[in-house]
Amino acid sequence: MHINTLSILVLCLVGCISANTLQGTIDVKRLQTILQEGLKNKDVTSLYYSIKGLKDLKAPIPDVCQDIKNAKYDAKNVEQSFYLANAAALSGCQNSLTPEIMRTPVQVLDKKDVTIPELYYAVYTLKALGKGSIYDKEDGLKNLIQLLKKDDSPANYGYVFALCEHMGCGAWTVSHAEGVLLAADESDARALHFDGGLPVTSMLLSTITRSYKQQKKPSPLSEEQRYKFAEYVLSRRSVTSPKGAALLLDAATALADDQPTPISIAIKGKKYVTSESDSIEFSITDLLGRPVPGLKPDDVVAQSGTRLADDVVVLSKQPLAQKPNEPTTFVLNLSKIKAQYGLYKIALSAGGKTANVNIAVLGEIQVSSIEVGIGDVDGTTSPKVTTVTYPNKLAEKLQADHLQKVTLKFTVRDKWNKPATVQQAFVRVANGNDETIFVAEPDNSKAYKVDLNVGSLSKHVRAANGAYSLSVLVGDSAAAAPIAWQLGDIHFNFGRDGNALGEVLPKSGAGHRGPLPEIAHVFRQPEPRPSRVVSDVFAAAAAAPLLLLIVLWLKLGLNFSNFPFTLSSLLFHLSLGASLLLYYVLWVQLSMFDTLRYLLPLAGLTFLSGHRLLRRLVSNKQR
Amino acid sequence: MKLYLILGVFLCFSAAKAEQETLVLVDNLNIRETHSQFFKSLQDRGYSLTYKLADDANLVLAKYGEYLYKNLIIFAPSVLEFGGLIDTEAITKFIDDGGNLLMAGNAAAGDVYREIASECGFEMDEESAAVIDHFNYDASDDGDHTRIVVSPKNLINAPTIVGAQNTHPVLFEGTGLILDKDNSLVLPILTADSTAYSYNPKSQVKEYPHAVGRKTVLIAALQARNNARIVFSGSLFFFSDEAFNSAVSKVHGDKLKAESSGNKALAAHLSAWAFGERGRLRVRNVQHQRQGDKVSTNTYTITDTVVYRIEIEELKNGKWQPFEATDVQLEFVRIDPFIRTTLKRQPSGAYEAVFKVPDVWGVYQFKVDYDRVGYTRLYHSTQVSVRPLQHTQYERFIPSAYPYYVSAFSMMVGVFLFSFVFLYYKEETPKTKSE
Amino acid sequence: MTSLVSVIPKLYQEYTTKTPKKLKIIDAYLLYVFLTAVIQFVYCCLVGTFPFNSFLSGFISTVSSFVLGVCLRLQVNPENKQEFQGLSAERGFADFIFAHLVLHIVVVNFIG
Repeated sequence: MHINTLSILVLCLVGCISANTLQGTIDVKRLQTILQEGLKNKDVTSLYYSIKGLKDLKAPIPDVCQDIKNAKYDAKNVEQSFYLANAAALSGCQNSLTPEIMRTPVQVLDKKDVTIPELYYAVYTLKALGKGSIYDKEDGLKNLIQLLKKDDSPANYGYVFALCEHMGCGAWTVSHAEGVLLAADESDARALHFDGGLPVTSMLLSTITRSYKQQKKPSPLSEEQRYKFAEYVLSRRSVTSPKGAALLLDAATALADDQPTPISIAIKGKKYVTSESDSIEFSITDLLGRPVPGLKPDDVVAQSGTRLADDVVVLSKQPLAQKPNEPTTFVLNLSKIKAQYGLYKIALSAGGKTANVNIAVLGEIQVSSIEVGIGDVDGTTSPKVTTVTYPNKLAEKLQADHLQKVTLKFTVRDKWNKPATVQQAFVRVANGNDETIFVAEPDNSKAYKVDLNVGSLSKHVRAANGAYSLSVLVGDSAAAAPIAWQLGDIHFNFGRDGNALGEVLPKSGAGHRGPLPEIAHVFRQPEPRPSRVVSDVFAAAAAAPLLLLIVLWLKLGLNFSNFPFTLSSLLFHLSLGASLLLYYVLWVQLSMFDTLRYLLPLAGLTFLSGHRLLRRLVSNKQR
Repeated sequence: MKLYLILGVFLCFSAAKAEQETLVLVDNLNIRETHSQFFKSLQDRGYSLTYKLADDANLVLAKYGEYLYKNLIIFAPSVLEFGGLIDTEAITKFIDDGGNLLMAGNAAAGDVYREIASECGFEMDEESAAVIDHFNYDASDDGDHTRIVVSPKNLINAPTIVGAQNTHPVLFEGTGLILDKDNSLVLPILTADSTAYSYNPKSQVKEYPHAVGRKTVLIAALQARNNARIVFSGSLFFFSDEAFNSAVSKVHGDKLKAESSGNKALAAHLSAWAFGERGRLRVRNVQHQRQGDKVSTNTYTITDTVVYRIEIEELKNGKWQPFEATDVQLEFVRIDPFIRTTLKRQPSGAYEAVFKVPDVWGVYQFKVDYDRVGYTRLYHSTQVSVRPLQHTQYERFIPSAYPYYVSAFSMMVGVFLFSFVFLYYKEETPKTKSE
Repeated sequence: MTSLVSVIPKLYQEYTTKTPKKLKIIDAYLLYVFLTAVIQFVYCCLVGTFPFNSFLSGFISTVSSFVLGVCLRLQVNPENKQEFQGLSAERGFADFIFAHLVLHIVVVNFIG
């Protein structure tokens, strides 16, 4: 059996249904939850729509009179007055209203250039307060027709129809409804809605159906129109606001109550059949998920079942069984085709409508054993083959180095042991989170084979020697369950190019951005200094020659007989001594500038007195 | 005067508002309804969305040189060519000029998508190829095993981008991307499991798939060097109301079940990051001075002790608040960094480092370069010069030089004494007379 | 070797008898300067040139003093009178003092 060929022929999504029936329903429970949540909202709009919606659902409404009393609204805005008044009326909390709520509607009614929506809000506010009879029928209708001439959008028609319901001009509604219905916009050739979206569509559908019922006339909606409006309603089913939920409910109820109601056929639960569970459940309801009235269980029949691969009809006119305790669920037993896997098209008819459904019959795949061979890359020696049976692991630890290759060979079989080809037959070699995946290819006998050249594997796994886990992954869209088989570990030795496992290899770019290593500056080591003692000793030694000098001079014998006791000689020596002392002070604390400033006069003095002195000495000597 | 005040306030306000202008390009207006929850979450956060068809002939991103939008959302996988003035080049320029982009494709995405993706650094698979995972598909899958359940463990470890509490699995149905591992700016936000691969669901795998196993990236992101952000999702379904509202139940494997998917939370976090609500940093204030000084100079002497203070703020909930991290580093660089220390966070909120200037002089820069996944790149550098010691700053009166001092002064003393001795010595018995 | 051994005592004897006292005074001064220089040099070799400027300053102070002393000795030596005609010993001494003043201010500036 070729499981792969069956998957090729999907023409539309599984569960695809023709334009004749709907394929979804409005989730009433979800809408109810939204409405109940909306009650907690203090905004008048949400409050009104929540109460209205819950009332339509006949769900219990908690006491909201306090909320209505405290609700903040713009008293000059007639729409908000409408919401508040009707919220009070619907929840029986009229006593929570103040009389001034009537002021704005009354003002609006007397306005000169009033618009249709305003009229609607005003009248219905007063109606909610019990004063609806204020608006007269004949003149009112004439007035409305005048206003419609100015602006005949579907939204305005909706308001007029609603006003007619109150005023009793339902006949007018009936005569104009069909025209309005033709003005609906079609999108995608599948759905109809009115310009303005959900609010307008909802209002028009509900007022038209109610008016017609009241006039005891049959519904103006054709079957096609009903289905198309229902498609639109379905497309808006994921509303999240109370206003949306209430309007959606209104529209859906209007359509669903209009007989014959649009039927929705959908697969409930799984869309496939396996050998263990060989039946498919269908849910056949109306737009709101309620049972289709007048639908007898015998009417639900699978007209035909055709295999998509070869158009062979596998079943015909098989009735579905209604599930006990669930009047909307019908079960189709497919045990007779469960062995023949593939994709099938089922034509299901209920209540005169047919839907085409695609379902899949899944088969089982199995891999019984795998052969793992380790041989040389060039194939000179025959490979050493180990066979492993599913689901065991490799019994012995296998080793391969960079001159060898690892060959895996396995066959995927179906339930009857015939070899089959599958979409996915991969072999995964991994070390922790680093993985490389290889694609196994089938040969002519449908045996899957894959060669892992260890040398070239090194590039993919960053060449770290060590144990790698080997696993086989087999999967197919027509297979009931995929196979993931952990084979165990193989030790790869990449030779010289390999790095020992655990060495830090440069990481890939993405995501590796972190703090860099800290750098501290290594300061230049100060030069080693001698100990203080040594310095002091040498300092003393440096002073010693002075002593020696004095000793030597004394030994030589000195006399100062040439010393002239004159001022100049004294001055000379003094100033010389002073200069040298000045140098000492310079060293200790002065700056050069200061020193020079002191030195210049001193030097001058030295020069002058020295000159005098030397002259005297010379003259003394000559005498 | 009052007029100017009003004008000024208006300008500030409009500048802030301009941050929220978003253009949404769709290939059919129905997407507004089918993805209404996602768009509503954006609008609730203050974004003003403009919906346009992708091939609308009046599309324009900039007018008179100024961009009309700060953010761009493209949910139009089947578009063949963008209309108006938008094309791949215009979008690339938009990103270069700082605009953010959020794109979602699917298996039927056209070549324009492929072009834009490759400009951003992601490689999309070819047309009609989808991510398939026979082991991790959802019960609501149509049979091709393309609607897959992805565990939050496959998310990137970056709470700034994906949020911190992702506990629910997400649903994904679309095409896969691969990232070049040498590109340091791309981030794989969500990757597939080892059993996944990207291929045409209708055919058997004959050649090596475009993306296999963990290398299959489902959602990728890029933060460009100008801090513009791009998030590219291979699945438009990921953002749809259907995905947000549905329950998750994996068919095989660990049969993971959840009441609601994590798509809504993850989509909200991704869009918040992509449009710059999170992960934005800026430098508030930088000070540096010698320790003990009040005034800062830009000249230091070697081996000075320097105190460097920087204030970093992060945009949180629309307000700039002090940023908290433990790994902000300061580099003191001449050409190579001489010193690299971690700044410590002070109780006042500023980051401070105290260190000793190296004993090599030159022109240095205080560099703070903070580049982490999910955050905008923070780069600040201040130039200072480090001078050698002044000639008056050297050590004096060194004990080990005492001999030299002593000998120098001894010379002076010697000269002084010599002058006495030499001048006044009289020869007793002059042997040879001098004239 | 033998010639060196026999030369030294003769040199010493000649020196002590022939040299005038004045020159011997200068020689004593020169010896003192030389010894100071040697001590500094030995110290530097032992402990290294750490405050190089101080070493240079001190050493050059001694070397320059030695040189100036030698110059003075030359000028004062009666045997060299012919070389220094017109320049008396006093003049030599004046130059000597002037040079020393300049030397010592430079030394103190450089010694740190």
